[in-house]
Amino acid sequence: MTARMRSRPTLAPAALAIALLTLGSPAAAGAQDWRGPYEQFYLPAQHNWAFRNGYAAADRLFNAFDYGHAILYELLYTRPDAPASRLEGREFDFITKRLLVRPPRLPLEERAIEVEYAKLVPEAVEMFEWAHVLHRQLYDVLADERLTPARRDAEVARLLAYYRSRPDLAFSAVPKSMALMQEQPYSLAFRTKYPKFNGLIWAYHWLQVGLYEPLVVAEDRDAKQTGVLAAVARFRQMIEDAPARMPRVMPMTAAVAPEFARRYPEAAIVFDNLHSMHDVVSDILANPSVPRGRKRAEILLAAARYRDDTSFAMTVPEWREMSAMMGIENQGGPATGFLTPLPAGTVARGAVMRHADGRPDDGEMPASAPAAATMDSATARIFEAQLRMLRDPVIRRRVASDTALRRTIEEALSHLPAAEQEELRALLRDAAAAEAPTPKSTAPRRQSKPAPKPAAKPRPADPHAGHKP
Amino acid sequence: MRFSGAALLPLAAAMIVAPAAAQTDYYNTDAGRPVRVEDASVIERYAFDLEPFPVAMQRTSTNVYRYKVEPHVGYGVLPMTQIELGAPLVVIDRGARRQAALAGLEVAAMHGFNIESRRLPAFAIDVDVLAPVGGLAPARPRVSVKGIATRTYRPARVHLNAEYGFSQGRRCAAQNDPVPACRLFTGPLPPVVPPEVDDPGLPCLRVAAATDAVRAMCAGGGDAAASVTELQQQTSRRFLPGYRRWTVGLGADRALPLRSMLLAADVFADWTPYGGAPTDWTAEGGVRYQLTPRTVVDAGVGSHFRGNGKSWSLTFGASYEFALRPLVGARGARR
Repeated sequence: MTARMRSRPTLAPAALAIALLTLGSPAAAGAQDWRGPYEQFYLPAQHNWAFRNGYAAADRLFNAFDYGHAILYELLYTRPDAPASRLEGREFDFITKRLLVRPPRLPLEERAIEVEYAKLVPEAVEMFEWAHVLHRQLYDVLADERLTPARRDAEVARLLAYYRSRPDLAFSAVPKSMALMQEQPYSLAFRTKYPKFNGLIWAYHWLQVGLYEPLVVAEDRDAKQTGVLAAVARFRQMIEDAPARMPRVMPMTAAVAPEFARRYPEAAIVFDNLHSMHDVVSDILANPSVPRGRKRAEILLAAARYRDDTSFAMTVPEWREMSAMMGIENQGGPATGFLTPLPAGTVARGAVMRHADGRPDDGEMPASAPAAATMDSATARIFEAQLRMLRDPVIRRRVASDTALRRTIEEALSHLPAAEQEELRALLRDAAAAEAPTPKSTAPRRQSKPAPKPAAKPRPADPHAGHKP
Repeated sequence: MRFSGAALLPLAAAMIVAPAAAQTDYYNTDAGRPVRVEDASVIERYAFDLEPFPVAMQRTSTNVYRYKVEPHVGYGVLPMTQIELGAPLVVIDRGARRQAALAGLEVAAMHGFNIESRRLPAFAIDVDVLAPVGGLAPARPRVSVKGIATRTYRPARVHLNAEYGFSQGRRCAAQNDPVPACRLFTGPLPPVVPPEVDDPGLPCLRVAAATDAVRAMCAGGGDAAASVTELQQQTSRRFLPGYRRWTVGLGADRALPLRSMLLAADVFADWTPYGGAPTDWTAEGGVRYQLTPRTVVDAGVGSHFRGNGKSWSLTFGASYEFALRPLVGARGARR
């Protein structure tokens, strides 16, 4: 035993291991066909996670989107014979009614969902992941308020350079013709068989590129918040009554987010190629004419075409023209500028609500003030005319002497803005004072009449009017 | 089970690790985090994986408590290749006696050979060197080589780990040898036996210098007479045999992707080629949870249920993933 222990070449296994490490390195191996792509960390920067921290609701949706893509590919690959209702019903309902309502708080590990698909084409999985990292990092740059516009542009350029540093994963920044997506032997299979889920994927892609637009065009953080939430709300509108309101063609970045695409065309093209390849993978997996044994090869061929700068290439002007010709209304609509402006306020800031509790009119905002906010211009002009007339002392005296007319005017006061109300009341008080007989000092003091009851106040509008029970 | 309060301090510190601010690190298991059998995935390129205070607490059936805090950092230095540096601090509490010291300086490298595909599991190799630094470190550099395979199935991932650990033997000086274990040949047992001597492969070595009671306990279920005779011969030559140990383990984990959580379990066997030492069997279970995009916490429990002594163990840790822009920019961001 002693001899055995002494003679054991104890460092030999270590040397063997080091040799294996060396032989196994990519530089030594040269090719990575059997090795698959390696993972790489995102570009570290001060803007990391700025979008997550500032726009949590939108950020979480992307986590849910990851699930949608992953379960789609897994089911298309592992359950090719499953009825369409599996995706169009069960999975669609789970995603839209539960997952998108309460999205996961963290990015998902897609390999744990798309188990078999990830083993089929790890190269494509990593291409998508690398592009999604770019997506998220661009949101971060545009959401980070500490960056000046110049710094922001520089950071975007840096991110794109970092993205391109992995040519084995990066989508080309040359626009690709729609023929690559729609005119292959397998094309259109997915959208034909699964129109709802296809619409959902396009709605995802609409939001993914659409969110850039408010981040680019809004002038301050508040406007960005509003714009991002509006885009999220518009996305939710799309998935109501599916697939009626969903995009009818693949949303193109140049159409949905034109300012972003103008400022950062390279990124916009990369994302269009990314989203286009998502559709291609779906078609290959969904099309039974592609034998199961050919699916990997077809996906890898498509992936190579989306990475190179020559296959199915088109010019940037052609890409812009095509995006416009497809019709923004077919792509889910623009991502900004669709919110109607808030109605203009018509009462003084801080006006006080006066409830119909029988208290005397003290000049505060009447309970029906909301109606004033909707007063149209014709009504406003009529009141303006009345105001001008009441400024005439003769007319004021006549009004003061006609109690019915005076009451009518007082009732109508509640529809006026507070400032005008106050002026009119002052005029009416003047008129009343002028009309009142001057008391004689020698005359016996008349018992004053009880004050006239204040004009009946209009009933407040029913806040529930029009609501369904 | 009794744990000293001091040992819980690192535990508390681990819970307040760096603030929230990759993402799915919970899916990439490390040995001991929370179970010993790990997967074949490596740290992403350019990423640092910092585990500031991973804590392991072990209680043996003889009421010896062993606490281990092993801060370490890993770095994705090359594609599918990581290096790690660690410094395990061990506290052995035998009731009346307690000793705390560094148990070595650990340098490791792990390389993934491939991404899992339809035909091949993911394979990786891990080489680990524990340098003799610290009062509770091994007498000689100890090397471990581990092969790892991971296969993913829909219900779970399955991992197979096979590890061989070894160190060279040593002829002790006749007197005043600096290696504590050599004092076994020349005098009474040291107050606290170094971990290397505690290793199941070596306890019988001290039989020659120990009492009958120790000898009987040490021999366990093996061929005590043969072992003692053989070891006595070694003792006469003052040869301290090297460390030799095989470990083979099978693990499985299941991800709950929408919760960013991983449930893991394993069972592994340890044995030494030295005669007389029984095979040790340990089973573990645990959970990894992605707390934030960059922070993962884990916790586990284990039972060494058969072999040379029995014990229970608990682990807890947190890891924080980050990158340093200067290291990334050299290749990527400046293009």
